Amino acid sequence: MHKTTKLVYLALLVTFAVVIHTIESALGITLLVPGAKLGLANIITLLTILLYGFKSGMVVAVMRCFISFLIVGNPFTFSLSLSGAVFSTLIMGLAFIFYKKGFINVLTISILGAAAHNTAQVIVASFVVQIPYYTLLSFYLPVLLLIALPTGVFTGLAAMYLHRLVGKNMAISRSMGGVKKEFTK
Amino acid sequence: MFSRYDFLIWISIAILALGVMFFNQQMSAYSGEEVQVSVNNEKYGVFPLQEDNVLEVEGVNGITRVEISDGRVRVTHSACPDKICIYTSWIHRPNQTIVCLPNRVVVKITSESQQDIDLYTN
Repeated sequence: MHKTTKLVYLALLVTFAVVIHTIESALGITLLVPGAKLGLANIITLLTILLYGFKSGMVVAVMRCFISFLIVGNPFTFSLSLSGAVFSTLIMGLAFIFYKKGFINVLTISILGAAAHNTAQVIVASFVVQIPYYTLLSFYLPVLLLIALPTGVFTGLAAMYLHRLVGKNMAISRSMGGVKKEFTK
Repeated sequence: MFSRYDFLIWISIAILALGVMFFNQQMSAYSGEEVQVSVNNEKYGVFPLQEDNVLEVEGVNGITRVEISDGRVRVTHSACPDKICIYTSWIHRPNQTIVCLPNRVVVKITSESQQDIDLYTN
């Protein structure tokens, strides 16, 4: 029962992530510099990590990249989004350990994820694009890191409120392995 | 709700980003830039931009005095009727030029690393 429910909810989360990813790339919102965007799909990855832990988060992030590659995008954007998603999920999974111990907030996990996403993307882009990697790393990355702060707060807040709402759902809570104390109030 | 670790991480990311930006701005001022002077299409000489210097360039009509100071270049005196080269005033970016057509003197800033702007027109 638990396993199947979890599987169904993970599939749903992947679907949400794909839809958000597709809509975001269709809207083409760029902030200040080309390549900077809100990273709304990160909300779902973070939510999955909060609900089911790091492994499921990684599964959802990678699946999201592969499926969105089939819908929108080309090999270049796929390589960027996959590297960014994998690295940011790794960092967020690491930060999640500290979150469970009560050291840091959800917003900080999100910001770290956004920063990791940007870093991985710039490193991969420097291999693909014919721009010297030094220029990209030293001129482009700082701007992206600064932008990662507000966007990270935004996605973090969204994930936090979603987590609160979703956690009250009995079926999901059961699929997580019992109703958590924090949602029973 | 927020612990001090949160603020520590936020501030460290911001400081890292701003620090690299500031470092770049400082570095870009010392990027192997040189002043290239040519007279009548022949190379007169190449001088470092960061060293203060006053050059007396022998042109076709007379002497053109080129002053290099604080990483900038200007022409202070020139033996030409219209003084366009003097009115060009200070230049400091790579590929900027001062041209004195009557005296056939061209002063140009060249750079090995930064090629972000191809050409300046006045």
